[in-house]
Amino acid sequence: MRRPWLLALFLVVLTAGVVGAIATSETSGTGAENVGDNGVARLTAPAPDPPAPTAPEDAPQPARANCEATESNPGGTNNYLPDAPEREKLGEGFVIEGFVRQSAGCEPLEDVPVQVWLATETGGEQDNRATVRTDADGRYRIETPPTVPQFGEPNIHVGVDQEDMGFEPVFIRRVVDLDDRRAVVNLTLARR
Amino acid sequence: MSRPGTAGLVALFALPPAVLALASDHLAREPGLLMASTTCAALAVGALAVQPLLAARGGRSVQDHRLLGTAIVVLVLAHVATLLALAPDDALFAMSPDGPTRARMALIATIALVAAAVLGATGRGCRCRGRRGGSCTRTSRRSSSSWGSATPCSPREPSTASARSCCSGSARSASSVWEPRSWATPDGAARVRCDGATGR
Repeated sequence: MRRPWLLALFLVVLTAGVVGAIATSETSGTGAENVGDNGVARLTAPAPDPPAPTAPEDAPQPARANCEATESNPGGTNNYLPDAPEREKLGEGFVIEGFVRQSAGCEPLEDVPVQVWLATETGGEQDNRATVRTDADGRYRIETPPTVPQFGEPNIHVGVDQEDMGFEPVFIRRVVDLDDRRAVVNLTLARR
Repeated sequence: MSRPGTAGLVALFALPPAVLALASDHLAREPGLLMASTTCAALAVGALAVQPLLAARGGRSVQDHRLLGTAIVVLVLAHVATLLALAPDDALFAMSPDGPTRARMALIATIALVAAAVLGATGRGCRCRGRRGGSCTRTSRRSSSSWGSATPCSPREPSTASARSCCSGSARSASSVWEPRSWATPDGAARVRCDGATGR
């Protein structure tokens, strides 16, 4: 070996690159929070965002608070098929629910079609998909069969693709634990 | 090690991971393609554990080492291909920069495996088993008209500079000199042997 230092340098750079690539990754994929729980706690509507910390305490609060819009995360559109049939339930054993509101004013949105899809004991993500509509409180809920690992981890998808209603499309990929009984996904939609 | 011995060793290491994986609850009621993909990956991982042993034994085991390495690469590529066929969106997402940590580690391991296989396929095809003053036997393949392959360790002629360079690479110290010697085996395969001595 004429230049052992060159090989050593290469190995150091290679090792650093591998360590960096692993350290910068997110455990479940970019933006994929774990939103699962045991389903016991009562679901409450999300509070509006707090006022900016720079605003003086004695300043008059705005009449309408605004909420930060939910952003799609990578993988949110995986296995998405538009126009899922409207269904009340896909099965039993797991629940996906949450609230849908709009960014401006944080007001709940009624009758918004929310599409959910996930891999379950009865089939893959393209087999277990449904559209549910929000009620007057902006709440949606659908019961499904228990989730199964998809590429090593159970994950669920929630999406709103209603451009004709004037909102930016949102596609969410979130993960849950295998023994979870519920996933809570709240969506805040931004006007186009 | 004989071929059956190698096969038994591979089976000893490769079958338990495959059985363990296929018996997992995760695969219950999963599609057959996923079962096939998992089987490929589990067999490859188990077989990979045998590789250092085969390489270290030298002689004919090196051929087995290369053969098994080829099989492992094929299994891993089959594993990836079946995942792509099963769920292209998820597979591509897993391999993307936004994929989960476990997928990134698997991707890095796959790249490293392919790199190791390429290096093994194109690198020196020899095992140096001798110590200082001993001998190093390098194997070359012979075509109908010429000696050896294009690798530095398979010189076309044992007297060429590349052969000397090849043999000098086998020397364990600057003071040792190894000279190339050639002969043919009974089955017609060409061999170049580096005879070494110290203190010259």
